[in-house]
Amino acid sequence: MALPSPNPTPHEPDIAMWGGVGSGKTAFLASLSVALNRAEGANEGWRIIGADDVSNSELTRLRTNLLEHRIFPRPTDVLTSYNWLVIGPPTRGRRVWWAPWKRHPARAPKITFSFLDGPGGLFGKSEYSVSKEELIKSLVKSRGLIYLFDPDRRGQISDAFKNLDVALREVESQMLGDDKYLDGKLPHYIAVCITKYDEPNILRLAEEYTDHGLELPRVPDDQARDFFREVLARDLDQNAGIIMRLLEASFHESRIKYFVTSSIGMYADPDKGFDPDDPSNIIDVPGQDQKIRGAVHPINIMEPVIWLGRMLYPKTMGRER
Amino acid sequence: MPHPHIGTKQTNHSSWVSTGRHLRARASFGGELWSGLGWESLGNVSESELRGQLATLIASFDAPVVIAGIADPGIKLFKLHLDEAGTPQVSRLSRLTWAELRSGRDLLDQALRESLRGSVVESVLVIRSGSGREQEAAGRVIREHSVGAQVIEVTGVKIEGLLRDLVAETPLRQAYDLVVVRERAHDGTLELVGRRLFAKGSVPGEPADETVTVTDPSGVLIAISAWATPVQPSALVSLHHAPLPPGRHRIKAVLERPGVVRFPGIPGLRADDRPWSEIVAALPVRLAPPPPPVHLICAVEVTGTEEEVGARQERAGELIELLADIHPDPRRVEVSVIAYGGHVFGNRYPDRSAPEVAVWAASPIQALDALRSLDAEPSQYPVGAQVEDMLAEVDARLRPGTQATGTVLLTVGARPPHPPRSDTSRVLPCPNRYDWQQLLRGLEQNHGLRTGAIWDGEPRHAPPAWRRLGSAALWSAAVPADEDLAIRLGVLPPSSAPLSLPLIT
Ligand SMILES: Nc1nc2c(ncn2[C@@H]2O[C@H](COP(=O)(O)OP(=O)(O)OP(=O)(O)O)[C@@H](O)[C@H]2O)c(=O)[nH]1
Ligand SMILES: [Mg+2]
Repeated sequence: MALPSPNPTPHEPDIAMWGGVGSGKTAFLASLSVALNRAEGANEGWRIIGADDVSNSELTRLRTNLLEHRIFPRPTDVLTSYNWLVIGPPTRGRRVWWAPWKRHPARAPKITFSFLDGPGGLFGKSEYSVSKEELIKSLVKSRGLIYLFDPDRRGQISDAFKNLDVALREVESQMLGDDKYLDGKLPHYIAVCITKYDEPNILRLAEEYTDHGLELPRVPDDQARDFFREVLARDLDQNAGIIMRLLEASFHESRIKYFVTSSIGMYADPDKGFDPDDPSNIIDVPGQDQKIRGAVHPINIMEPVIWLGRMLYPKTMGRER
Repeated sequence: MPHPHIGTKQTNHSSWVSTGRHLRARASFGGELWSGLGWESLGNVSESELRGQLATLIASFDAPVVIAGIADPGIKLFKLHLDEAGTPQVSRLSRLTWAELRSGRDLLDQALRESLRGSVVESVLVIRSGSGREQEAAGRVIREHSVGAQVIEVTGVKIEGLLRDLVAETPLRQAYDLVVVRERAHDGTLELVGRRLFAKGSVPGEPADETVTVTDPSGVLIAISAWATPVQPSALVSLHHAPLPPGRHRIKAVLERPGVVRFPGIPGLRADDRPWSEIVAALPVRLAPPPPPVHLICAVEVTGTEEEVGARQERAGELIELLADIHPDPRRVEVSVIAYGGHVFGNRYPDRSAPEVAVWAASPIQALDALRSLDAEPSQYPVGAQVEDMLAEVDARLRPGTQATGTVLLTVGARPPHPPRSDTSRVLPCPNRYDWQQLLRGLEQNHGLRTGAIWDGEPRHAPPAWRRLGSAALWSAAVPADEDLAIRLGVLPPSSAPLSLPLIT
């Protein structure tokens, strides 16, 4: 089935991001800057740089806080846009039939990722209406979405629902009004990220979905949706179950992908490695800022971004799902 | 052999009976008396003869004797009697000068009436050391009151001093015992018994001693009782409190005079005037079981402010001092001091911090020194402390078979232990994965360990971990450690009624 193509206009933001208050949006970006530069295996060779001075210094700041000061970002209070350039490993040059003696030079995929990071509370509060409009605009114009869901905020799922519900209605009313999208679904690709996987209680909850065969445990992508459902089912709030239905009603099923993510990852002892008895990578002292305990191990942070990249630029990045 | 001077009359009513050399005052006095031995029949005696006679009298009389001393300055009336404890006592009843008597003969009548009043058993002995009209007249007056009065004439004798000297020198008429306590062989209950210090007939100046055990840290009561017959105790002769420490003591006694025993060499001795019945009522039925040897392990958390750590040191110190002061056997008290802090997280190098054993199984004094030398450390991770590492250290140091020693672990601090593995508390697990609950259980099972805790906050707000650490007693660091805490911890035996009397075994 041929789906309508997302808006291909170049200079619009490719990817917009949203999620509830404190769902881990800014930390995600900080971690992304770490993750890309450390990528190995299939994702090896990816780098991230700022596309302009401001974005560059923001990038550095986020990274420094996470890696050196070992602190999480402050809560975001203004809508900030980051223009980052994600540069992939060069693909082999291709021969073309009209000039087989010539090889096109190898080309590295370069994707402009414009992230709009706003305060998570935007949708609940009228005083943010200006920023809200801007965020809606970015959601409408972008072609890829990163939606962050915090599984650790028990009792706040109804907030998450409201947040999602309001945002989607606004976006839908702007996009589905005309006849452009006949099937009544939004054209975006959306990466649904269940964040803070490193939290010991989330790890426990995810136990049966977890792949333990790696250095750090991880919920494989094909288990992520089921795990998300389990997280939602845990909450007695009726709205919880609706969240998934809402997402799947608004987007094409084939354009939704679930990821279980952690911006900081689990603690791994420098000598002994990861120990399931001592997974927490956070030093949490009441009345003090949380500190990151050991090395940052981003889990599933660049994967959603690269997945979106592949979906949006299948030619440069190779189509893979 | 009848006494030559003090006459005898062996009737039912006679006042003086001489049996051998013993003069005895006995039967009642009254009716038609004094036949055969008249006033005049008593002649002059020498002072030494008088002394001998009186000494014999004092050593043997039973019923009170009134002695009238008629001398140049006037008349003195004395009473010789036995006090409650059977000790001869002489007391002066009245003293009248001739000038006073001249102004009214009634005075003498009155004094004599009072002296003899209310009793039919008094005998009267007149000792006349002055001669003259007035003296003779006085003798007559006395005879009017007491027809059986006997008169001895003697010259140049100070009668009062003589009587007092003789009473003080007279041999004991009763045996004197030290009242002690012993355990009955068949059931261990306590009974009062006497240990003979001075036999009947002992004379002043005689020494005696007895070795006893003092059990009450506040001292011992030294009670002397007189025993008229082997089975019948008479009243108490004297009662003193001696501030002797617990342990065995040789109590040295010297018979000062009848009714007075001295205890040389006991500083701080003082008379105790509590009623004997009260003392006997307060005696325990049985001896408290001997306190077992104690090993008190004070584990003090040194992370926190100076004040917090200071209060913890103070509390632990109070308990150690208490032990040193009032444990019945301080030689059986061992104290260990362990300082523990917190684990360190978030460093790139591994956490090497570990509890520090300042002293192990040392004397209370050494332990106090060690305790004082601990310094407060700022807390790096204020939500947990190395309680579990401390327990592991204790576990490693307690040798098997320490069960016999009452081992008590007193944890003094604020923060909860680190869990062995990540749990809902959000307190990071112990890097060594020690399991504090398992360690505690093991210590309790293998070493009979008792656990007490002094927590910074109020015990009723203490988290479960601290309640567990304080199974036997949970105390607040804001409250001085006292005997109650020591008893609850089992480092001091429960206070039973102390045994105030000496113990013999
Ligand atoms: N354990 C864990 N906690 C995280 C992670 N990411 C974020 N957090 C926690 O969530 C808090 C909020 O993270 P942010 O990245 O500021 O969340 P946000 O969505 O940007 O929040 P607002 O800007 O206030 O809307 C952080 O301070 C951390 O305490 C993660 O990967 N693991
Ligand atoms: Mg933010």
